[in-house]
This record gives sequence, C-alpha cells and structure tokens, in this order.
Amino acid sequence: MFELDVRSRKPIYEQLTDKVKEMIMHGILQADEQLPSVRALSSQLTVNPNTIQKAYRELEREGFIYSLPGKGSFVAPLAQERSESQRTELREQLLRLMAEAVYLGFTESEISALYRQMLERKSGGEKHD
Amino acid sequence: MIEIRGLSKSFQGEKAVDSLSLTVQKGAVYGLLGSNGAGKTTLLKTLAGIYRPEEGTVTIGGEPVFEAPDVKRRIIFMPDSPYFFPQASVRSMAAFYRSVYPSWSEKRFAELGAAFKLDRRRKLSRFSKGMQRQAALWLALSCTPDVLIMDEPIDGLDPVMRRQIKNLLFQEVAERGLTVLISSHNLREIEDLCDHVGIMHGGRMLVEKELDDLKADTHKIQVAFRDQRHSGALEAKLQILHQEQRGSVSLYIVKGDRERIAQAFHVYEPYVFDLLPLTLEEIFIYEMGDAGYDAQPILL
Repeated sequence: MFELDVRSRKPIYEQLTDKVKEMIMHGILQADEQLPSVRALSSQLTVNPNTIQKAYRELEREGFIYSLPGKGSFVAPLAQERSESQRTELREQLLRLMAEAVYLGFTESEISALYRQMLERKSGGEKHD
Repeated sequence: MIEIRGLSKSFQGEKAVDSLSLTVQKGAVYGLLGSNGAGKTTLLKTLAGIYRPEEGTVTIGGEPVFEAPDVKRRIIFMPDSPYFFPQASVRSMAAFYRSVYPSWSEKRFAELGAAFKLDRRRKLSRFSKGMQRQAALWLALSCTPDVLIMDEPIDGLDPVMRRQIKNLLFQEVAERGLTVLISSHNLREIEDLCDHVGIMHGGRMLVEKELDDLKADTHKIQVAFRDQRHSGALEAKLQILHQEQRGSVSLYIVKGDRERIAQAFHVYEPYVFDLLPLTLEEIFIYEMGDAGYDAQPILL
C-alpha cells in the first residue's frame, strides 16, 4: 500500500509519516481503520522495523493515529485542534506562494479562478464516489 | 545489549582501537562505518571474544565476553570471508553448529532451507563466494542468536539475495529482538539496513547516532545571494561544516535544525535557495574531511 523511494534523500521514516498523513487527509485511510503491523510492513517494504516503529510513534505523537496495546495502530478521527494547526501551517505556505504569484503578476481574478477550479474538482470527485 | 567502554587494543605497539566507547540497544541494527584501517575488524573481533581487550570493558547483556562460553553461546560472529571446515557441506557444518550452539533450531534450519536454495550435500568449497555467504548466514540464523555480528556481510550477494537477507534480518529483529552489528563500506546498503550508525577513524569513534537524527541534523544548501556580503553575515550565525563556491552559487553543509536554517537564509531573500538532506555517503565524506581524511585532488 505504500511506495517508498529508497534513493530519495528524505529519511525513510519521514517518507512513511508523510505518506500516512497524505492518505488520511485524502480519506484513503478512514478513521478507526487499522494500519498494517510493524512486522507486516517491514517485510512488505524491506524496511527496518525500528524505522517503522519510529514513524508510527511520531504519527501517534502528532495525533494522526492511536494504538491499542496488543491490537495494533489505528487511524485517529480528525481532531479539531489538529486541523486548526494544519490551517495555520497552510496559511503560511499560501502566503509564501501568493507573494511569488503577486511578483509574477497574477491578478486577483486569476487566483480566484484557480480556487474555483479546485472547488469544482473536489465536488466533482465526490459525485463519482 | 552491547556495551563497550574505553576499549583499547594495539598490535606491535600500534593502536588499532583507541579508548573507544560504543552502545548498541537490544533489537537495534547498528552500522559500523569507517575508513580503511580504522579498526572496525579489530573492534568486531574483540566484541566476539576473539581478542582480549587491553584496556576498557566489552560486555554483552552486562557480562564480559572474553573467555566466557555462556555469553558467546548467544553470539554469532561472521568474519569478512566465511570459514568452513575443509571438505564440509552445509549438512556437516550444521551438525557442527548444532553441537556447539545449544540454541540451534532444527525447525528454523528447515524453514530457512526454503529461502536459501542451496544443495545441503554439495561441498561448500565448490560454492561461489555469494553462495558461501548465503550458507554462512543460513547456519548463523539457524542458531537463533541474540547478537549477530557481521563483518562486510553484503559483499558478493546478488540484489535478490540481498533483499531476501534484509527481510530475514528484519523479521528476526521484529519478532525476537535480535541485535545486529554490521560493518560495511557499502554506505547505500547501510543506509537501507541500519537504524544507528557509528563512524570510526584511526581507532576512534567520530560520530555515533541514530541514522535519521544524523540525516535530519546535517543539510546541504545551495544558495545564490542577492549580495555577496550576505554570506559573511550568515556564516557567523550558523554552524558550517563545509563551504564551496561554484560560480555565483554557494554550496554549504550546515549542521542544525532545518527550520531555523531556512529562516536564517530567507531573511536575505536569496535568488536561489535549495535545502536538501544529506545522503549517508556525503555525511561520511564530510565527517572524514573534518577528521583530516579526504580525497586529495591528484591527477595521475
């Protein structure tokens, strides 16, 4: 279920945490869905189990997953504060991109057109589900 | 699991290992890297109880290793070239290991037989180098050791077998908490395999760290400043290991927190700014350069 790039400079545990977060945000992993066990994932990806353990620990610390002793790790329901901190982070990223866009001469209507485009794509995508 | 404190060992007055300390937790996969002649093999052999430590202590599970059969029963040491008895086959070597290691598992030996497709009756001396390595690992894992020490284990194995062996090792680590210590020059292999690394040079340990921390701690930065004076101001603020000028682009190797470094650079709004994590190979080369061991630009 995960594809890792072992040639990438990015540490493997970071690739793993990013992948899981992405899958949770896109709804590929649903709330309370069980994640593969450390052992299973280790042999599936040929990745050091300690690295996977570390990625899961990190995800748990950030509130993306929770673990039940003896049962495994599960996707946490989206917490309010978490989406709040994501919004702050995204706002900063957007501001940085906006600065570039303004510099390159994007107009307000061009940017709002982009926003509408994504909005339509999202509602279109949901209809197909 | 493995504790080395202030270990020294010399041969004919020459120090091979010089007051070195090292710790490996249970269930860790530790990669030992180092320049040629850094003392890696001496260290591994002392750890396996082959050499007597001159100074300092070497303990596994809290007990000294040298001349302690009870401790050594739980350790397997695989030297850089596998050794088998003359005329031996996998079967006869298995009989020997069974008699020496009380933890030998006949079940494991049979299971692993499916992974290594080797003829048990054929003479080991007629096997290729890679097949001998496979046989050595087959025998080693069948002993279900607590600690596996391997000197240059990946040499001569094809990519399929390398993957197979990695998987087997990871399984042992995940299921039984096997502790693995590996020395290698093949940094790519170590990078995929280990969670902790130690870099040795001249008998001493230069760096010892969790691999991800090591990578998260050092960054390669390519930057083109709006004004060359900016670089001087930055250099005072950051811990810079290495610096190179390539035309109008400067290359920096900087130690520290990624966010903080990025912020420090962004203040000056450079034309180009790229921040990349280092590969293990780059870390190795820059750390070695720091220790005065680097490739000289000699053209022959």
